[in-house]
Amino acid sequence: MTVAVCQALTSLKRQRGRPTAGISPSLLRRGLPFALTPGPSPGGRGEIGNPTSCCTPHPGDRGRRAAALRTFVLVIVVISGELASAAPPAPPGDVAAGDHDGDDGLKIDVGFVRSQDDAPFAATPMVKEYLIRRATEPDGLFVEVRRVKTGEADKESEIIDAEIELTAAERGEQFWFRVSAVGLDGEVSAYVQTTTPVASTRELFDRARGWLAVLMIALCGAIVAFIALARRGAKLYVRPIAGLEAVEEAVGRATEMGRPCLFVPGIQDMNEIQTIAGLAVLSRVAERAAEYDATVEVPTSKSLVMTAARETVEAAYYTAGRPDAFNADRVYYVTDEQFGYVAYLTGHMVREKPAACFYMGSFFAESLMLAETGNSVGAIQVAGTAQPSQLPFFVAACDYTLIGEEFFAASAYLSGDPDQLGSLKGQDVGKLIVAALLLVGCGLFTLGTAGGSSVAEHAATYLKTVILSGG
Amino acid sequence: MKRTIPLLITALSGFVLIFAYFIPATESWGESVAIWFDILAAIAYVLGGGNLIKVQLKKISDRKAGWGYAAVTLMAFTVTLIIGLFKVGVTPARNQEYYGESFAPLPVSLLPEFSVPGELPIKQHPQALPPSVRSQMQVADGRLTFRGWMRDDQFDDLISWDSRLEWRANVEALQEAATPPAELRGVLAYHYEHQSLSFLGRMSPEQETALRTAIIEPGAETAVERLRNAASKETSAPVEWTPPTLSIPAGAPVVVENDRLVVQGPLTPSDRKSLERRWAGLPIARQLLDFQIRFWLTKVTSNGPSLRREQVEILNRVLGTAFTAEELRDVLNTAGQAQPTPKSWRELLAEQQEGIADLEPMQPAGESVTVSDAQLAALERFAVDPEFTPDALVEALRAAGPLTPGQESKLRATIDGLPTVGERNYALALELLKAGSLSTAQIDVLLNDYRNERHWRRDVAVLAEASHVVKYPWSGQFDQQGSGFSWLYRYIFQPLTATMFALLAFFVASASFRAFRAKNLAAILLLGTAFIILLGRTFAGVLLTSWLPEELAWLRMENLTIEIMRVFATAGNRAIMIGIALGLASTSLRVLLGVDRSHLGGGDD
Repeated sequence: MTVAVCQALTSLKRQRGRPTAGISPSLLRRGLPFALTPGPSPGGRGEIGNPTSCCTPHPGDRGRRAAALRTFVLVIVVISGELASAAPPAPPGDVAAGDHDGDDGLKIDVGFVRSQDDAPFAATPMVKEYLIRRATEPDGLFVEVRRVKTGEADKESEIIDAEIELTAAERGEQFWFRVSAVGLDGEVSAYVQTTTPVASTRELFDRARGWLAVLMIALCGAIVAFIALARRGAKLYVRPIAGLEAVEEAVGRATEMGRPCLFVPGIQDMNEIQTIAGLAVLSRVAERAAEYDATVEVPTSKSLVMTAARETVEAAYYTAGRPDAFNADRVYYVTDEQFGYVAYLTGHMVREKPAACFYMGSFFAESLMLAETGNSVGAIQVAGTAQPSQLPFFVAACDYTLIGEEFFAASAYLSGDPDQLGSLKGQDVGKLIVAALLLVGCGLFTLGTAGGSSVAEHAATYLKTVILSGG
Repeated sequence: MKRTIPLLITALSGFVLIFAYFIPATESWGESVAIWFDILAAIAYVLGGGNLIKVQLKKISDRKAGWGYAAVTLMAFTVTLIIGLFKVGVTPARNQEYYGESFAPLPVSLLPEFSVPGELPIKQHPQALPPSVRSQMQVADGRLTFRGWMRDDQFDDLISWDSRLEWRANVEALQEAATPPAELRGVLAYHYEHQSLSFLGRMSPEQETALRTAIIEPGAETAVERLRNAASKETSAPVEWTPPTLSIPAGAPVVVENDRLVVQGPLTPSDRKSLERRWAGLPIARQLLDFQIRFWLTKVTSNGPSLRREQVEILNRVLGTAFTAEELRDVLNTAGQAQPTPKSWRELLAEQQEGIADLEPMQPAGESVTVSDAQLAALERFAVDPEFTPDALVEALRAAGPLTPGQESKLRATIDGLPTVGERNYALALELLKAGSLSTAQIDVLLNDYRNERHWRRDVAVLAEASHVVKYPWSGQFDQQGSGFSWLYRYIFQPLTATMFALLAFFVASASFRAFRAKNLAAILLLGTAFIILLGRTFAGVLLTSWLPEELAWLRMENLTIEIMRVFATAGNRAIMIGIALGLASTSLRVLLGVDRSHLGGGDD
């Protein structure tokens, strides 16, 4: 036989081996059940003879024999090539499955050792993906649940971890898993199967949101701590806010001019915190109006807001000692529709010409229409909202604007209550935390990208993808 | 006390919502709390409506300034409420009605019982049977018992309830047992949702006998009688035009008598479809030969002015193009491709018990059936011969070679979807009108067939609606297309809303005129930035700085705009949003803890 045949035969011989090092340390640490239970191979892959027996060339009659041998070699190589491409890859190594920690019981982790025909074991990987199947019986019908492409996992790692998602009805049910390797042409290898079943469990705490819980406890703890501090008599400084100082001035102006005040608590419902904050300001405005004997009208866009606003205004009048002056008809419902509401308000403003207009709550496109109409009738306007897109319109058209957190601080500021002022200081602690995270994050990213520090880069990625992503 | 309870409810609901976010087992509690809010808001709508009526009536009675607006408001409110509440002009939802079915109430206890051996599989967590079978299925004494006949959705629910093979095999056996007799298969069903028996289409005497034999419980005769009457009730509708090729098969529930379509029982959707197309024998649009195209051209031009060159080209193209025999051959070959068929659950169970490790759920595909040369010849004839009907084609295909039931049904469905002569002429008329003009007479010539076909389909639709017994008259959406409410919304509300929204442009202009004044440094910066942003979003701005070289491309208006929005505006926005988020958290905590009670009315309680 020629050297070429020997070389062809040699190149086709495959090492048949199994990972003899046992289970990987990470799987061992988890103490998960595992086994190597190869199923019946769908097609064997045999060795093609011993190459050492065919490497002595024969003399004589080389012309004819050479041509015949070349043809023979070609046929052998072609047939062998066909066999090689049709043969499925080697099955994966060990497989292990276990419950995913710290979740709602809707995930199971499956880890397995890559096939010997896959990187990093094979120089030329022959595996396209891994097929994971599961069943509720060890010998039942296994159904495909996931395919993991080899490119999805780190090529240097011998182990692939996959998460299998479950439905709520499957939570707690026992499953067996089988993993097979799928070759480049779609041939499926023998499978490896878990020997004991795995069931998911619902954890008490969602660890994916752990960091959010930490930040929340820090912020709320600071707020509660400062409230407690304020109750003990500590003096807390809050900077003056022009818009809130102007509330009294505006109500007084309305009283002098003999015209009503108009209070618009936004267009959203009571489940929106801005509406609640708006009603808190309404309480103070109504109290002032009761003291000065001015009228305040509160047209609302939501029925529930109307009932809450009525209670608020009535209590304010009682607090001011003017229960007789309260008129429930001044707090009324108009319509839920955004532009129907603003059409009513603008018409009302043009007809009634209020002297003071308060826009406190959540607004959208109607913000500028209200503010411009109020300006055209000569009213003093104080606005407050936490909608960033509407703030520029209010700033441009109103006399005073409470921006974002100033609006939320309004109730505490106007009441002067030490408890509430303490919460404002606690809020500032939150700002310090945010500022610190900003500085740390910017520093880490700068070091990581410009400085080339991999530690900083990893830390920055952890900060961004884990801590700040809601978990 | 008056404020204590709301405070307690607020605190409890708030903390439940917070903890539910972190504790997976309590996630649904948060959803329940949110649902309670929706219920309260819905109740508050009544209060709001009542308040609106009261306030507006007071304005009218006091003749206050603007009382006319109050009157209009009240009228609009009342009209919209009545039209919306009573669903004026709303038809029953098509996806909720049971077209072609007759119903008769029948309690589950009077249904026949079917039983097979079997046990409930043991689950880690106890789980009730699927809701669709609870009223009809029982498991006791080692037997699975089902009352009535199992529907496909019930079978699917039971199969997916547990994936063990023994369970699925038992369910399969139960389904086989709980199948109606052969005469009633596919037409008889029991609806557990409203405990009634249903029958599809017209009930023949043989089917009636089979039904009486199948339900023998005393007390069920009334239901069977009612069902029989409903499934035999005659309904008729006038027909304006009857296709000359109409051929209703014997045994069909529909006949044409004295210019009326008469149906026994409700007209089923499949019968309706067949009547509209297949039984009507409407001529299929086939590819025309040159002399046939010339005939059409002469016919059109003799009824009006000559066609333009483009129109003649269109006519040649449309009339010379139609389905081909090769397309039908491909349809048949595709349908004839052998597909693997699923094994039954009992077969899989048997394989499992034999010890086969890797169970394969599908059986290998058989041999494919392809179109023979003789069959192709039949298809080619069908493609050109208008006298060659679809029924004749099927007969010819059967005679010329193997034809599987799947191939036949696919072929018939394909033929039913081919455009008719009327539809082709309609499309031709539209294209000719786009390319030029046609006289009224020419349009009539082209659309005559289409009009007749439309009349026929309309009359069949009228018959189908007349024979249908509405089950849920109020199931349609209140804002359904064509209803009174949608008319109000589309033609009154939307234009008014758009008008108000359009006013915003003028308000923006006036606010900008007032705000963008160079009074101080901050105002100058604001004015300059606004100038750049406004210009940068127009072609004029792009043109103004397009001359800048590539090294200074960042100074071009459009790039400056992007940079200002991306960096400065985003930074400011984020700063405000951070403050808002913190203020939001602080305010929420104050409200939850009851520290801030001003929204409930300040003061002590």
